[in-house]
Amino acid sequence: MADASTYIEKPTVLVVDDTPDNLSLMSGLLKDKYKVKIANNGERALKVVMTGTPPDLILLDIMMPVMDGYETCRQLKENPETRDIPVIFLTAKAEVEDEMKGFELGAVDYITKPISPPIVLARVHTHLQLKRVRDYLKDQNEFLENEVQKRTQEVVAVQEVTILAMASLAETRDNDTGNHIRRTQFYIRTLAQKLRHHERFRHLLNDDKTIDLLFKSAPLHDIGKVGIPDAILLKPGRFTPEEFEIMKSHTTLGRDAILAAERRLGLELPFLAYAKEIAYTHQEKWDGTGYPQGLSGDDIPISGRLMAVADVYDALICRRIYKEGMPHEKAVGIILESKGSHFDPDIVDAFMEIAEDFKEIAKRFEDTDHDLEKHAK
Amino acid sequence: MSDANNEQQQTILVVDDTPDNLTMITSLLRNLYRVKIAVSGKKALQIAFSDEPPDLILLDIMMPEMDGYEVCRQLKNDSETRDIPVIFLTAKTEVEDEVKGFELGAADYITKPVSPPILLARVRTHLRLKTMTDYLKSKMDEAGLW
Repeated sequence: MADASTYIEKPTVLVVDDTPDNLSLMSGLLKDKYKVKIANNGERALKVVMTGTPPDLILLDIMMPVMDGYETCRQLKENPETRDIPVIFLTAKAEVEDEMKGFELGAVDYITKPISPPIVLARVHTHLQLKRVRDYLKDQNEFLENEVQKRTQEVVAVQEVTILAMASLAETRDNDTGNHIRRTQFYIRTLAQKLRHHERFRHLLNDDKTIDLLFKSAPLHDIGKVGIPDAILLKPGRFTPEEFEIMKSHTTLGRDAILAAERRLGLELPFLAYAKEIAYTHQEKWDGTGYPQGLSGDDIPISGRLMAVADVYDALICRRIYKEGMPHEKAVGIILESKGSHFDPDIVDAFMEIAEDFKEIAKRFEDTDHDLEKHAK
Repeated sequence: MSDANNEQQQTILVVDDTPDNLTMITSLLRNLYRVKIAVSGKKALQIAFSDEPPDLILLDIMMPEMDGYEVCRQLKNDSETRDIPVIFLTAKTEVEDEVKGFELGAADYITKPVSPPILLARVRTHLRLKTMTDYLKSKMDEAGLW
């Protein structure tokens, strides 16, 4: 790759000089190795650069009528399209100040006239090489960045599809329409956002990623219901104590199902960690009378405590084919009554403040008659 | 890969038998690079073949005992030092001399008296080219493409 001959096409060099003799001298020198374009003033040079394939390098005389080399260079470097084309100045002048000016304008080197052929060839070669390697690395970086972005999007999509697919399994077995899952997902996010700066919770909730994970994993809270027999799951009346024991196992079954999936996958995923937690602990109560473990207070993971409020609120207000939903105000009252017994008191306080948001979410994803009938079939 | 960082750590060997030239060139480079100096070709080869070879060599041509051409020839003959870019420092400006230098593997010429912006620009160019080429080679080595 150290050789110009390995270019698929010869690189193009634009020579700009107002003296015809200089142009033919340069062309003669460069034409074996490069495709040579010529221009006899700065304005023409800019036109050549802008039309067709831009040159890979420009040899630019400074002293020219119409538009001199400095101005030409300035305009080339101003335009993002042409900024990266290396410019080498051709000059009879050899003052340091002039050279400074040229470098400040973005030139990469100088060639002094009268030109020396080996010097011209060496400098052209060097700067074409440099540009080529730089372009190659830039392309490679862009390619890699795109690739990473694409993969990340795929991973996120797979996560979401996985959760929805798993959640819909539970859904099809239950009385629920898909809306319960949507509503609880939004409730839990609203609640978590309300509490993210709360002194008791900020170390658990104060970042967007956690809240997003809660939002995404919430739909799996009842995934364990797939393991409950229809006769119990769909029973309209009260459960017998034996039936209730079986019903309670949906928490453990849910966690185990996600755990089994993780084991088969061979790695632990953060978003499934929340899903496991929520499935396993959303039926626990603040005073320790919940199930399956009978945890109390802060021993119940925050995700489970949040889900408990969201889940109960939704169970109260939602319509069923056999019952009307409870009015919002009444449901809020019941939750308030259970502050400190069923629910974390601080979470209930936050809920009270944003109860209107819950009402709004409930309305947004309300079960229509059509939803309910469709599900009944 | 940040140029500033790479160049800061890069070492330039300046070879000239005139102490004034060494002082002048060193003062131009030392804010940007680590600078080593040698007053003879023999000394230059010693440094080039040491455990810490320079990243670029600025090499005077006219020196007693061993001239710049011979130093360059020996550097380019050895695989350890072949890829270090050599820029000749010269008062001569004859085409035949330049042809000879390029044939020996030099990267470029800088005419004395040295113009500071030209010196800095050429050093920077050849260090960047070397850094990027090395990087690319190592990537291709990794990928088994080289």
